[in-house]
Amino acid sequence: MDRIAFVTVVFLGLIVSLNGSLSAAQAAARKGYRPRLGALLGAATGLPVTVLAALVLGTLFPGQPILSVIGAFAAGMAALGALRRALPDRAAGQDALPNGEALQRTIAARHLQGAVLRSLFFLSVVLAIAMLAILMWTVIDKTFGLTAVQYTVQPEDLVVNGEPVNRPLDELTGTELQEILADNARVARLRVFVLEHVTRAAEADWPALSGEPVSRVLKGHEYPAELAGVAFNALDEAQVASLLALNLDRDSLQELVFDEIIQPQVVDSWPLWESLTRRDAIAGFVAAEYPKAEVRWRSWVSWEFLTSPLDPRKPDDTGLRPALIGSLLVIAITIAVAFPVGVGAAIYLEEYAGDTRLNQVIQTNISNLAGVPSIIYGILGLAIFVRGLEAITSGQAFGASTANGRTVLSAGFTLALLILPLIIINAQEAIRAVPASLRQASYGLGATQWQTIWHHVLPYALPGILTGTILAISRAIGETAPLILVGGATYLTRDPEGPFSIFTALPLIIYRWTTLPQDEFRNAAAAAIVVLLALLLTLNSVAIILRNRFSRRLS
Amino acid sequence: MTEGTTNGRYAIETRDLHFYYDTFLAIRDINMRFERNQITALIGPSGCGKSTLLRSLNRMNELVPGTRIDGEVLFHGQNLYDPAVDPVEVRRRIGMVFQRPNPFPKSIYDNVAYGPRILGQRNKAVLDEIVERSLRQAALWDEVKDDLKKSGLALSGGQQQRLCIARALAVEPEIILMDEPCSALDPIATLRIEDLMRELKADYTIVIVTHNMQQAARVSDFTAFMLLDEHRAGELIEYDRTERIFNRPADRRTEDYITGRFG
Repeated sequence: MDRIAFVTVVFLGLIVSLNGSLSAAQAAARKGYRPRLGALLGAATGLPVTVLAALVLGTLFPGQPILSVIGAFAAGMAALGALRRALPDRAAGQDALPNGEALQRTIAARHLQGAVLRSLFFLSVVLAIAMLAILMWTVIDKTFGLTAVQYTVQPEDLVVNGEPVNRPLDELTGTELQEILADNARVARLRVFVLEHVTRAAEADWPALSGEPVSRVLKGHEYPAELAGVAFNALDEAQVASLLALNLDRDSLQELVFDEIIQPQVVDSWPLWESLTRRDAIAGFVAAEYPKAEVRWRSWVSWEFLTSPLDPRKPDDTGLRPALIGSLLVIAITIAVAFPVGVGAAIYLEEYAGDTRLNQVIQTNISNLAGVPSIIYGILGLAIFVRGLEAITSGQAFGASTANGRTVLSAGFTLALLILPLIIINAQEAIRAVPASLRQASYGLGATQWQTIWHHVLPYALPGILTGTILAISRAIGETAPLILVGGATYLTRDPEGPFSIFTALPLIIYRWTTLPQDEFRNAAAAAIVVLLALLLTLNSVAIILRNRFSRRLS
Repeated sequence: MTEGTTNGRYAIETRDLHFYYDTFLAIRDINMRFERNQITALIGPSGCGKSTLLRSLNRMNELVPGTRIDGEVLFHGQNLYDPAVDPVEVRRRIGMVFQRPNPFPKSIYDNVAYGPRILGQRNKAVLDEIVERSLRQAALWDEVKDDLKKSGLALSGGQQQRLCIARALAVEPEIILMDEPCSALDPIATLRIEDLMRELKADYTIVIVTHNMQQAARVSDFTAFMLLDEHRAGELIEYDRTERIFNRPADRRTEDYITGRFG
C-alpha cells in the first residue's frame, strides 16, 4: 500500500475512533456500564481495526488502494457496530426510561458527547486562526527584512576631468554635477535621461526621435542655439549633459547622479525571521560575497513603493502606483454600477415581482450565478464589454482615443457583473427581514408602496444591504482571473487616468511579480499584498462605519 | 370620494361581503352597518374572521397576495372596492391600529408627522400643530412633550400603542380600525387605551377586534359575534347593541360563547 493510501486510512481510522468513542459511550451507558469505559473501548477499536483491515486488504488486493481504503473504513464502522451489540447488557429488565443510577450514567454519556464535540469545534477555530496567522506571517516575513545594498559606482570613484571627487554629493554645484554626468555615463544613457526626464516622450517613440535634430526632439525645452540643427544621436557626452543641466535644476541633477550613476542596488535580501535571528551570519555572508555592499534594514512597503511607477527590471526600485490607482478606479466603477443595480433588482424582486413561474426561474438563476467561477465572468466581460460594446468601453463614442475596449470601464463592469448576484441576494435577505408590522404601519397611514419602500423598508434594510456589499466588494477587489481575461496589463508606463484608460490592478501585479525571475520581486509582491489587504480593510471599515451609523439611527 | 347616499347615521357598511384567500373562503356574506361615532366590537373565537373583516374595511387585506373579495364595502355611498378607488386614499380616511405597538424606528415627532408628511405637508408650523393636537388627542402629550426627539421605540408598550393611535389620528381619518390593540399590554395600559377610545368616540367611528369579552362589554356600544360555519368560513351570528348581546342574546351560540361555554 502506498503512502497516500496509508495516510488516508489513518485519517479515516481517527474519524472512526472518534465516532466510536461517542456512540460506544452512549451504548455503554444504556447497557449499565460507565460511559468512559465505552468511550475508551470505542476509540481503541476504531483506529486499530481500520488500519488492520487496510493492511489485510492491501495484501489481498495489491494495486487496489481505493478498495483497501473504502473496505477499511467499512470494516472499522462494522467493528464498532459489533462492539456495541456484543457488550453484554447489565441493565436488562430495567424500566423503559432510565432512573436513578442509570439516569446518571446516560446523562454523563450525553454530556461527554457534547464535551467531545465542543472541543472539536474549538479545535476548528484554533486551526482557522492558525492558518490565518501563518498567512499573515508569511506576508509580513517577506515584507520586512535585511538587504545587502551596493552602489554600482562608489561615490568616491566618481571623477571630474579625471580627478576624483572627494566631497559628498550635497556639496557639489550644478556645473560639477553636469560634469560628473558627462564623465561617468555613456552617451546613449545620457540621451535616454534627456528623453525620460526632460522631454518625457513615450518609450515607443524613442527610436524614431533619436535621429531627429535637437530642435525637434527638445521642442518647447531649452537648448543651445548652436545645437539646434545637430541630429540628437550625434551629440557627445558633454553636449547631452549640457542639455540636461539647461533643463533640470540642481536637485534634479543630483537625484539623477545618485539614481543613475551611483545607483544603489539591492543585491541580496533576507526575510524578517532570518534577519532577526541570524543577523551576524548575514553580515558575515555579505562581507564575504559582496565586499562593497552594506547591510541595511528595508521595509518593502514604503511611501516610495506606493507612489513610484512600475519598473519590471528593478524589484528594489519599483512602485505600484499605476496598480493602486487602477484598482481604485476599477472598484469605484464596480461599486457605482453594482450597488444601485443590485439593490434595485432586489427591491423589484422582493417588493414588486409577483410569485410567478418566470420570477421563480429568475430567482433561481440569480442564486446560481453567485456560484459561477469568476473566470467565466471574465469571458463574459471580454465578449460583451471589451468586444461587443467596444465603442462605449473604449470611449470612442465619447471622443476618447483608447485603441480598444480593454479599459478600466470594461474591468469595472465585469467585476460589477460578478458581484451583482451577491449584492442582490444579500439585499433581498435584508429586505425580507424588514418586519411586516413596519410595512403595515406605513400602508395603514395611506402611504404608497414607493413611500413605504423609501421611508421604511430601505432604511431598515440598509445595514444588511451594506454588509452584503462589503462582502461583495472584498471579493471583487481581490479578483484576478476576470481582469486577466478583459485584458488587464501587468506593466504600465503610465497611470490609468480615467474610465477609458488601459489599466492594471493590484492582484494582476502580485501575480506578475511572483512569476518574475528576480528573487526580490517576491518581496515586492509581499509588499503589494500588504497594500491590497490594507486597501481592503480600509474599504471595509468605511462600510462598517456607515453600517453602524445607520443601525444606530434606527434604534 | 364624494359625499354619498349613505345617511349620516352609518359611517361604513358592508354588503354581501365574501373574502377569499386564494380559493379558501375566509368570511362569508357579511352585511353590517357601523354606526357613526360609536364603538363597535367584533368578538368571536380565534380564526373566525374578525381581523379579516376588520382589514377588509380599509383594504389592508390586499397586502397579502392572492386575496379576493366579493360584495361591497360602502363608505359615503362609494364602494371602496370599485376599481376607480385608490386603496391609498381609503387608508388615509380609514386608519388602523395594530395588535402589537409598531412605532417607526424614528423620533416621536417623526412618527406622528409621518402621515401628514407623506400627504405633502411640509410646513413646520403646521406639522408642529398637528403633532401636538394628535398627541393630546391620544393622551400622550403630557408624558412626551419635553422629549419629542426621543425614539418612539424607547417608550413603554402602552405609550407606544398610544403613539400609534396619535400617528393614525394625525392624518385625520373618519374611522379608526383597531385590531386587538390591547392584547400586548398590561391591564393598566389597557384601561388607559379604553378610556382613550371613549374620548375619541366623539370625533371618530371606531371598530375594534378583541378577544377580551370584558373589554368588549366595557368599551363598545355595539357588538358583533362571529363564528366559523361548517366549511370553516367566518359568518356573522349576531350583531346588536352591546348590552343586548351580553344580557339577552338572541342566538344560542352567542350565549354559549359569552358565558364561556366554548371559545
